[in-house]
Amino acid sequence: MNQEQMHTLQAGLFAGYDTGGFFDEMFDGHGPRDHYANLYRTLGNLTAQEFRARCELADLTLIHQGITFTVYGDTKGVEKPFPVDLVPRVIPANEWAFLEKGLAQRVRALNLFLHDIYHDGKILKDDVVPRDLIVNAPNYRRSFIGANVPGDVYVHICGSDLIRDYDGTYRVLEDNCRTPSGVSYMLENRMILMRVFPSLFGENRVRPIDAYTTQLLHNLRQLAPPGRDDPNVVLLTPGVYNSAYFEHSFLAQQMGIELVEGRDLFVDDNTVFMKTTRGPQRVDVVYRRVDDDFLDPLVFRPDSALGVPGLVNSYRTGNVALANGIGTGVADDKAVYPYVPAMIKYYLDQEPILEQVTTYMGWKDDDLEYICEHAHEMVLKATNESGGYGMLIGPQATKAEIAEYIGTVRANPRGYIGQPLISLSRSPCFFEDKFEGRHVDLRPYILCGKDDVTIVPGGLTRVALRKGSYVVNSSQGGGSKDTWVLNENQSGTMRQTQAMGGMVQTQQIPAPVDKTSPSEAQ
Amino acid sequence: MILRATHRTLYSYSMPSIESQNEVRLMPLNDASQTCIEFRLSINPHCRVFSYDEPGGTVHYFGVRSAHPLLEIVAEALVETHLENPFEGLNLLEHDWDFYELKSTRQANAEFLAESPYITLNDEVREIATQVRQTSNESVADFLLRLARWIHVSLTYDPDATHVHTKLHEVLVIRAGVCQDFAHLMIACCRILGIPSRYVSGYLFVGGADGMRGEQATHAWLECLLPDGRWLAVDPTNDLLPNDRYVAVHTGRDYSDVTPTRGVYVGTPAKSLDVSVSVDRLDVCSPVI
Repeated sequence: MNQEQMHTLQAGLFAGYDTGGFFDEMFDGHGPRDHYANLYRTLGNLTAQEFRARCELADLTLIHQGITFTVYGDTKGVEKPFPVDLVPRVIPANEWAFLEKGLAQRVRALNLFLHDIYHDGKILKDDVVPRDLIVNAPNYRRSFIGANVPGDVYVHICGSDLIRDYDGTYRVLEDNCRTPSGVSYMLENRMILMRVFPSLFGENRVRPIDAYTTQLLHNLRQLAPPGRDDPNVVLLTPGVYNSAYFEHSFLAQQMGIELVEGRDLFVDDNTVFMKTTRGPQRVDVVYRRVDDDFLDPLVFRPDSALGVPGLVNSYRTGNVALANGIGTGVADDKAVYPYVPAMIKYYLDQEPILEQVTTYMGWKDDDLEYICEHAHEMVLKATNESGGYGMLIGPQATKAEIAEYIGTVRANPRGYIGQPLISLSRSPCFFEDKFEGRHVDLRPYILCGKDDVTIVPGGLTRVALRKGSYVVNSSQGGGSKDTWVLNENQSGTMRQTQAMGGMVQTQQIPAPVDKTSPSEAQ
Repeated sequence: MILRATHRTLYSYSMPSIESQNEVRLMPLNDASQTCIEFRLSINPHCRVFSYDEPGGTVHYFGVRSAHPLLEIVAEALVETHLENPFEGLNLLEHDWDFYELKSTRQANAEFLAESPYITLNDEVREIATQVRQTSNESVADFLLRLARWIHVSLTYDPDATHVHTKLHEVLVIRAGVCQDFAHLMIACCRILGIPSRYVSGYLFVGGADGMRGEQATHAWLECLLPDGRWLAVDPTNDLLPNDRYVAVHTGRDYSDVTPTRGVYVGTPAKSLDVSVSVDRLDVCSPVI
């Protein structure tokens, strides 16, 4: 790339923007990519002062709406406002069509896999996935072998993390099949951007995303036990101390369903009820944001006070539905990840559409040696941790840290994988008075319904806001961006209206019609 | 033999309890060595009982929401046992360990070869297993008999030494315990040498056989996968191979998979817990042996 040339091409706030040799979402070697052309012109023509004013407006909105999160292990403060960068990340229509196909294929395979390993275990008998890896996985629920779930769907909501490497190839980094979070930030980021930069939506054909909650509610209602025509759906949260409590309350409010804690529910005669001021009310579907371990002290951790005793057995009998199902954690185990392409071939007889990251497995002798020899240039991960915990980034670690980590790997090889360090793509972010590139990933939210898979266009783009950092998790100094998927059809008008307060959002999009959905009622 | 097992559990609370949810694993298995002819579960206060099957057997569950000062669970089972001579067909001489080296064996039984909530596979376990193996001949069954003998001799039977939550690594320190601890140690020794092994909970008919452990409460032993595909039951507590006096109720990786009664409720800690088990023989009236 010719840096000189870039300087002359870039105007205003983009002057001096340096792609730093990484794949940049906005710029190729010659200038802004086509799908960023409008944005480049509009944002580049703003002054730093004008942009800062918009940032202040956005911050104010975030604080007023209480859009915050909690960091575990941080003793200083309980809640932090979720940092939003106002430069959107843009995905062209054709790229999205490809991702959509690839993600749908992947989540289909994961659901077939879960059904298989809780029934006949064919893929294990055929030795496509090593059986020991599954039956001894900490999130494999032995007592659920043989249990049937509605429509054989285990993962109703999946958050798969995509990254782009040096040449822009999208790769799946991991799947989140338990209780993926962050979708509220995706929705709020759009709301904020529409408020502070309304003109951008006139210049760009951005596909709307607010059908997410309608679609989710539609899918949840479909899970209800037979004969429950007007099902009662609730969202089960661990409570206000959970890092994602804001999201739980936000989603419950958007869907118009009750936000409940374990103590609000009880099981009588194998049926789940909610305590209300007008007496017990039967519950048909629980969108649970409580992990398996804490869901039901009768069958999982007995010391947990967050769950509902008897809930799991009621689910097993089909008297109540759970989303996501029980024991889905085995599908997003980092030890199982390397086998997902093989699963896709095995169950669907298709080639995997999406690439993933080359993974060295601690339990394979050759791989283990490779990991130990190349730790300084790899990312090593504990298979049972998430959120960026229990990870070693070789190039950024000291020799002593690497040696210590290798020691723990050798002591428990089943518990670790190694991956080459992927230089994540970067996207311009605003700092003080200019744009600078920061590493990003993308978490689309995949909804698996009874008959089909739906993905709202885009997802949550997470940003590693610290200079040089690759860690995008909000618990580790990450922020996020609004994510745009452009409409293929550039002609014609689009309607996107938004009323503040988060209650009314109207966007023109084909969405499933749900007669009792709150967004229509209001 | 036709055996009738009655297992009564009584929880008494100083203040009435509410919102009680329970799971029990009390129904005898149906397999090659026994047939469960009849099973009845009675709960007081009366409530509806549900059930499901898991890999180790059948689970029954029920809830009592209203205030109750006592919770009584009575399981009555009528079982016909068939295994008169467990030594029949047992290879006690020939070398047959190669089976455990096969990848197919290790994969198909992976859950019975790994560590589990109660069972750690550490150096001490390896040392015991290796030591006993050196004293045995080439056959697996011979090793198992010697291992059962070694554990029977080396561990002191002492009901006060351990409790239901005692893990194997603690047992290795105190070298004493009850059938649960004896079984856990033997399972660990087998697993570390590659012999798939599982925990069995059940009952033991002791009529006429003096000095047998297991008469007061539920008993526990283990099953080991032999190279011929048979799961051989071994009772290290009594240093013998279970025969038709044994009634198997549930199997699992260790005690945590077979817990006979498990429950949660709202209230004060139970004032007392009484468990009584009786096993009677119905087909012969006169004492045998």
